Amino acid sequence: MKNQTEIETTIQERLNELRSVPERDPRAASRGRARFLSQAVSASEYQRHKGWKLFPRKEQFAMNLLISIVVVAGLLFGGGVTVQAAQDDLPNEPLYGLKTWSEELSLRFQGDPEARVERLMELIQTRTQEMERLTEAGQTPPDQVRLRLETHLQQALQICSNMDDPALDRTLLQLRDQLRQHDRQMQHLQELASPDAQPILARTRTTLQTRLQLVDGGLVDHEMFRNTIRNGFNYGQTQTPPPDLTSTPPAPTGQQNQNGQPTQAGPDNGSGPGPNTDPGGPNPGATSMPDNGGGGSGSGGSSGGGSEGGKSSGDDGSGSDKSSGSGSGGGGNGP
Amino acid sequence: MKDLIPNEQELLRLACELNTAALAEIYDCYSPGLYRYAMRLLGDPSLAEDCVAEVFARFLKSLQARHGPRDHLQAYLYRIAHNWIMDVHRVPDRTCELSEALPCEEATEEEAARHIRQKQVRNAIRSLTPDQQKVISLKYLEDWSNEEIAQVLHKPVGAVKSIQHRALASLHKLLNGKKR
Repeated sequence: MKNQTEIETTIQERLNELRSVPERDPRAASRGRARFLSQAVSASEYQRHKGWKLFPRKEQFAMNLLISIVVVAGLLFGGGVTVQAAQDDLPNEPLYGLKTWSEELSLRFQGDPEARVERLMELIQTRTQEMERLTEAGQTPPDQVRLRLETHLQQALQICSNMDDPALDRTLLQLRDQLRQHDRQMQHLQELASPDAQPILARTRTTLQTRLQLVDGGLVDHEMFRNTIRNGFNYGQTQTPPPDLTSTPPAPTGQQNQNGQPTQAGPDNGSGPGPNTDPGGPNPGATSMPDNGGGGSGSGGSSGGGSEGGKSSGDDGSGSDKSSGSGSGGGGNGP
Repeated sequence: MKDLIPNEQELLRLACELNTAALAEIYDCYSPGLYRYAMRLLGDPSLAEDCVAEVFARFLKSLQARHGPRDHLQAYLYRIAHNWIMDVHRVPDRTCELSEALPCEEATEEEAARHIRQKQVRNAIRSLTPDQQKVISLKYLEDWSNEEIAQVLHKPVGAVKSIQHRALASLHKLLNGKKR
């Protein structure tokens, strides 16, 4: 028995060599966590969608009936026709106010943060198109269009800052693509625009580019992004506008914003909407998420995609126990 | 080993419904321990990260297929981890990669010697049968009790003791047969 104890002590000493483990790389750890949570969210959504098919036929019927009633009521009241007609109006046209009002209303109906950001991206697109149409018609887009665009952008970023990491990644990627596209569009417009329209287009580009930088940074470091948004994004102070835009001449005087107030003529100085313009307010749940560093979309390990990862021999590695015959494969479900 | 999650049953029930908050809690509770476990047996940080990722990916997959564990979650996760590690061991041996960020020259020699000793111990563990490996690593590296190891192996405690006894004898032979 003594011999056995001695052996155990000796072996224990040798095994202690393996006990000390170097500290885990926090970035790799947070990447792994983000990847797992992203997989979990996908799995959860997949299951939820699958679950919808399981709705009883009776409930489906009730839902269809409800939708039909809403559609018919909408058609009967006819208000939608006017609102629809206003959608093509430009800032200098009579129904433009109705258009912006309906946009704000539609935003309020978006409960899901991702859907709301998507809607805001559509509105940004609308503002860009308005600028495009005015410029092509030889007119100078009023500053209120740029201010609205900036408000939409700020709201979108604010909502993003409250998202969890996987949603943030998805949304920022979409936002980045769209901002790049708008930036290119603005560049093209600058080439066509009259000298009078140049300052407003240049300021719009500055707004887009500074937000684009923020979004790019956010894709790399979520926490930095959240902090920047929470602390107020004063891009006029913290970020340098592109060199070709720093010498932008002041806007023509006499322009007024939507409230009838004279607009700021100089370069964008962060006097636009504040950082807390999110109508949904902050999301406490998101603040409890730890830092997930470099985003969770799978730049790290090789096997996050499940058992197809090459190294494993089966779904749960059960083949590993063949020699012992214990049958205790990884996928065992317990007693 | 301690119960890392006091309300494990409830958490598992939520996890079976693919509740992301519950899954996140499970990940946060078990991933550090699993990483250490993999590091001890593999000695490679990136492989250890892969191991953790794979364990949770398989766990999620089993939940989706409604074959997830109903209890003894920790035992379940470590079993997957260990099987994955043994799969990795089957791949032809990797060269012993010394850490790239060694602090200074004096430390290098000592670090290299420690690295070699660790490799000897890992190789010795690898030579054991799968059950013996599990018993040795869980008992002597992770400080699990025999009862807890029995849950991983799906065997009675008596069988665990017997495996432990044989494993110690084999290890003693393997390690004493080599120069320290």
